[in-house]
Amino acid sequence: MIRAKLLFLFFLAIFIAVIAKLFYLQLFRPSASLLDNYLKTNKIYPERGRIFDHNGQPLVLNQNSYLLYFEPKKISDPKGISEKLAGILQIPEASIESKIDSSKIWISFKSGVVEDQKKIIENLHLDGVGFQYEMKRYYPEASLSAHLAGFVGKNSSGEDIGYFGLEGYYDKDLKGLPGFLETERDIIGRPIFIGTQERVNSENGRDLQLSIDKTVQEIIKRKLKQGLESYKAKQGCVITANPYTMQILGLVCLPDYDNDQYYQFSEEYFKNPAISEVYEPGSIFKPLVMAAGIEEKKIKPDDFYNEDGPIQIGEYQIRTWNNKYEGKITMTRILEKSSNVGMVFVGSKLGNDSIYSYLQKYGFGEQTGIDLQGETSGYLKPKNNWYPIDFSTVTFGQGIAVTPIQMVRAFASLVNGGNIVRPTVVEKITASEEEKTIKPKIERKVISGRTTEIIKKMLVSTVENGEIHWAKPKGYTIGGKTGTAQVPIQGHYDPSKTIASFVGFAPAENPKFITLVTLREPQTSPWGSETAAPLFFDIAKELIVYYNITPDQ
Amino acid sequence: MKQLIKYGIWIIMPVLLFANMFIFVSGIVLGNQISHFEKETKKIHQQNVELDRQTSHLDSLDYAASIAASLDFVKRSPPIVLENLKYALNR
Repeated sequence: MIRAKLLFLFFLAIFIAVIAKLFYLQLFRPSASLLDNYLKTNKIYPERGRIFDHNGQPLVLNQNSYLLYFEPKKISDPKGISEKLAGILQIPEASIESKIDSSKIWISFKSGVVEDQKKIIENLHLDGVGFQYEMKRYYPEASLSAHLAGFVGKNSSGEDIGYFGLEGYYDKDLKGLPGFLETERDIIGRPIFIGTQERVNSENGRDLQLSIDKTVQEIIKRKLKQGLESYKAKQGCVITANPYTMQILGLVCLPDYDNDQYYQFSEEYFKNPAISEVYEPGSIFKPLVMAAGIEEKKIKPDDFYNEDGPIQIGEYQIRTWNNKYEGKITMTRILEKSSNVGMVFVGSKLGNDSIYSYLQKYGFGEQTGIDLQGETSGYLKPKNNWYPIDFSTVTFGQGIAVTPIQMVRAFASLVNGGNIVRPTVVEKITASEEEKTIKPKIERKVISGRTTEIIKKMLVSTVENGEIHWAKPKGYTIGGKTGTAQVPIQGHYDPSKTIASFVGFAPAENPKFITLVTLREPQTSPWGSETAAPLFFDIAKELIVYYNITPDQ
Repeated sequence: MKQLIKYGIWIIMPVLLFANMFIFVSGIVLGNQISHFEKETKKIHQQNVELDRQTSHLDSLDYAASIAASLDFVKRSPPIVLENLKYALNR
């Protein structure tokens, strides 16, 4: 009996000791780290989706990155540490030293430290310097597609968020869904096997496969850069698309920015002028109005117009660009010599209502719906605000504000059978178990197939018999149109400032690509025919070789 | 019968005690393994990401252009071809 009582007292003593220890730990020393360690819930961050070009080549990936932090209590020589880190991180010593505040326990110092820098710093074995894992974007092709890709920054809560371009438009798809891991852990942080182990896996972001071809992108960027230097233009854009599907094959605007160092650039660089800026298109607009006239059977390519001098509309006088008049000319010749007065004639045959209706059908004044963040809709005045002069000037592309992407979409309808197709950059969205293909979407039909065949021939003739003979690729029929629009400044046009452009397609019979080139304020010549057009043919030559297009002449 | 139960308890108690100890120790060992594999998985994932980055860098046009420039493979240095020996012999 005594032995049983002793045994009971022995177990009671152990039991009381355990309770006393728990009482002490929980009430007198409630260390936050201990409480956190017991039931630990970790957020599992998903990996942001990657972006690939048409051929599966990476344009945007993720890379390992680290947050460098200090634990000042463990740092005995702040000056020495600052000296060593300054060279590696390219940050002045004084800035580093001023951050090491010995009154604090933990200080976040620099985000985005890459693997190589981390290895060098780790080899220095510095006390009080540590790293926390995070991920950041990696651009293998540097800023080849800066405006297209956009960049990943932080929102007000410090979470990653995509801005501009694809990163902005597809942010929800790319960022994925976070998961969590809830585990019971012992005092040194090891999971307790028989305790709670609940895991909800994160869902990584979806990958995007673009219609953009890295090689096309490289060609047009290189050529545009050369063009900007040769013609001393302030800004330029090149858009290349498949005219039938309106899948964008390449889109470059310069100047652009470095996605990796986006914070070093001002906000104006982030806007993609191809979708976010409007301009008066000038003469590249003429074929659209001409096609409308043919579609409505108001004119035929061989109809004559007597170009005998300027046209007076109210108090305004409309002239040709060189103030020269050829007398009787055909509709085709109006495009060839880019006659403003000829287009006013076409507009008068078409009628004001029809002109306005076709502008709407071509999609001006509305967003194209391209899958890039930051698109603007351009501006098409309400019809009742139009003066008679507006209906005349719009026939040669003045008095209307369009975006380059709207212009390409509308022009593509002249060569693809008359369809207005929604432009797209992404052709496939891939998740771990599903794949979604984005199919071309025809919004509406503007002109008939017959009209497109006629207008294509007229545009080929415009290139063949235009005012200037360009260095075209031999053996290929190419259609296109030049444009030179003056820039409106404070209600007036400044003749010294123009936007030169050329839109063309090749090969004419069954176009593989349509390309728009715009140059803002070229200094060597204000004319599209002497700046944007040669640049277009330079690009076309390389694209023809790249796409292995056989000669058709 | 009473004796049998008494001996049974004497046998079962140590078995339960050792079983308990075994489960406890196994729990610690498995906890260690979980912790180890968590770290390893993370490390392998990071290595994968880094290798992916290096591969795509080596495969990039940007890298090709830099190599071409460092090898002086530019217009000033045209290729020498056997079909055009005159060129090769610098005549």
